[in-house]
Amino acid sequence: MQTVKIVVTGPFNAGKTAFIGAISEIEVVSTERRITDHSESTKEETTVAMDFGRITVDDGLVLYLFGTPGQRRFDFMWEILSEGMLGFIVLVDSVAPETFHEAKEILDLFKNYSPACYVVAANKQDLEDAWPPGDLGIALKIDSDVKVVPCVARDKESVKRVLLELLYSILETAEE
Amino acid sequence: MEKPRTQLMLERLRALQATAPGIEASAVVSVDGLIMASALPAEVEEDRVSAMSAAMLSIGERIAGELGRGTLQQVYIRGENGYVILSSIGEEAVLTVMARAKAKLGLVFLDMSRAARDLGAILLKT
Repeated sequence: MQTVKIVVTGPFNAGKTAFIGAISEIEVVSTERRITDHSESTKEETTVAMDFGRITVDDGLVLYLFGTPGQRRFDFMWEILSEGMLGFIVLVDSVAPETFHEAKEILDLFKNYSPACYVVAANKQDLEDAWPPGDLGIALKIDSDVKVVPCVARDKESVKRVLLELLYSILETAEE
Repeated sequence: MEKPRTQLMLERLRALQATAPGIEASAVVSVDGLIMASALPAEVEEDRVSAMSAAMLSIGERIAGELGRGTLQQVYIRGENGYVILSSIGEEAVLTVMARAKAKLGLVFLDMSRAARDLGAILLKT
């Protein structure tokens, strides 16, 4: 059996913990803490170390999903969690264009950590004001060979599609 | 007029460092990784210390719980040049202490638990 490490990253409030929670077959190891400074956000809880979930694709393949914290003061965890990853997903909040710049910076940092494959997931597509994935890809100046996948992180089927897109990218790169 | 809480916490941290000479630096950090009060040397970046403390404590809590060790009391890190010890202060905060390699650990632990109790009382004040 092969195990593959995949990292789920992206800015604060992009939906990383929800993404892993929607698909994991084990109870997610999460490290959410109550936010003390409410001037930063109206969100109740934030990840301070990592999330960990697991999903069995078939008899031969198990994915280990590691979610990162989104806030920059936890950036030391980004590098720690990126060790040994085969691919990563950058989750972007499609209704929060003010976070796109941060998303791009996180993406570039992760590319620096490792030459691993990645996809961009345009999350919160169920919300009315969501940027379409295509526009979001242009705004973030995503390379044309990288997939920008629509996503609703609370929906298991949607999360599955994002993971499959990443797995296809990994396989394509392996064949080249 | 009563002193602000940060001031009270800072005074308690300084008292801790005065009682336990092995302790070089200390800080109170919120569980989501923001600094509340610190008596750290200038070269230490307090934002990083606070974020790392919160991350480490949360992982420690998960491990203690997952492996049936109950509620976390302390995380203890030993490096070549000394110790970093984290203690929770109630459910809201963490006390982080850096101690010299030659520190008397028994005393450090004792003084830390007293300080954590006092700091918890300060935090409960509104």
